[in-house]
Amino acid sequence: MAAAVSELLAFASLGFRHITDPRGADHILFLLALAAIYRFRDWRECVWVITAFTAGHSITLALAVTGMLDLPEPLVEFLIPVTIVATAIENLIVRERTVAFWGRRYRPVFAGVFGLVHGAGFANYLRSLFVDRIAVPLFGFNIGLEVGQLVVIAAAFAAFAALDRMIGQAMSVTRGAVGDRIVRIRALAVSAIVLSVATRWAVERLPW
Amino acid sequence: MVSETLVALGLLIGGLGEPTCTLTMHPLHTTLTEVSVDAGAAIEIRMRAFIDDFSAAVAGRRDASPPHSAPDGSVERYLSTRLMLTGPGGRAVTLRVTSVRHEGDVVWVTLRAAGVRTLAGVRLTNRVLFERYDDQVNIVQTRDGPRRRTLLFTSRDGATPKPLV
Repeated sequence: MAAAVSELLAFASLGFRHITDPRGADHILFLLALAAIYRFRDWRECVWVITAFTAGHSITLALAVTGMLDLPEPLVEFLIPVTIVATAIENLIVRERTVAFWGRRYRPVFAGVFGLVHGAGFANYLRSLFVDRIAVPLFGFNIGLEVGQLVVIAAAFAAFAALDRMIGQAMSVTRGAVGDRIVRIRALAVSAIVLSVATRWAVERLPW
Repeated sequence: MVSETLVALGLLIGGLGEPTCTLTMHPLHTTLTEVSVDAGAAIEIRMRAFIDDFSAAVAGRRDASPPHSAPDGSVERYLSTRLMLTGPGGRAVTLRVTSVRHEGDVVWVTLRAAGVRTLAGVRLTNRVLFERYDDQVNIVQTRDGPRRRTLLFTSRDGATPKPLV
C-alpha cells in the first residue's frame, strides 16, 4: 500500500510538473486558447470544455501507454500545435457565439477531439518513464495533469481579470463593468498571441 | 469592430515576427533508475536514459557518439560523480558498471555494488544530467523484498542523499 502511494504521488507530481512547466508551454497555450473567450461568471461552461479535453486526452493516453494505439511521434508533435492554432482561429472568427453553429455546444466536442491528440503527446512522455507497471503511474500522472490544469485555468482567469481591467481603463469604461466588448478584445488579444506562437511550432514541426 | 481587428492583427503579426520567442514544445528530460538487491547479495542499479543526452553528458560535449556497449570506463567515470550510494554510517559504496545496452533511442546502464544485503540504511544521490538541463527529473524505483518505493530527484534536491526504503 505504501509502495503504491509513493508511486502514485511521484507520478502525480510528474503530471503536475509536465502540464504547468512554463518552459514547455504547448498544453498551457491550448488551455489558454480554450479559456480565452470566457468571463469568470462563465466558469461552469469553461470547466465543461476543460473536462471534455480531459476525457479526450485520458482515452488516448491510456490506449497509447498500453500499446493499443501507436501514433507516429512526429505526427503527434505536429498535430498538437495544429489543435492550438485551430482553437485560436475559432476564437478570432466566431464573434457572436449564441448564434454560432450548434449554439456553444460544439466547443466541448472539439475540445474532446483535440484532447485525443494531446493525450497521445502525454503518452510519448509517459512511455519513457516506466518499464513494466502501468496502472498506478498512469492514474497518478492523470491526477497530476488534472490538478495542474485547474491551477493553469485559475491563473488564467486571474490574468484575464487584470487584463480586462486594463482594457476597461484604456476604453474609459466604468470600473468593475466588464462588458462584452472588453471580453471580446481580451479574447482577440490572447488568441492572436497564442496563434502566432502555435503557428510557428506547427511550421517547425511539419512531419514532411 | 475595426479597433478589435487591429488589436488582433497587430499582436498576431508581432508574434510571428518575433525572432527571439522563448516558448518551446515540451522537452523530455528524464531518466528512470531501478534499484534492487539480488540473490548474490549485491545492489543492482539499472538506469535508462535517452541515448543522445547521455552520450553527450558522458563525452562532455554535444553530438557525441553513443557509449560503447562494452563498458570502457567513460560511463563509470561520469556516473561516479552523478550516481552515488552511501551505506549505513555514510560510508561510500563503490558502484561498478557491468553493462551498457542500447535499445532504440535509449541506453540501459547496469551497475552493481557487491557485499550489500539490504537497502535499509542505504542512501542514493542521483544528479545524472542535471548539469545539462534545469528541468531534468530522475525517477528512482526501489525494490527490497516486498518493499517498494518511488523517488524523484530534481535539480533542486538531486544533491541530497535519499533513503532507498
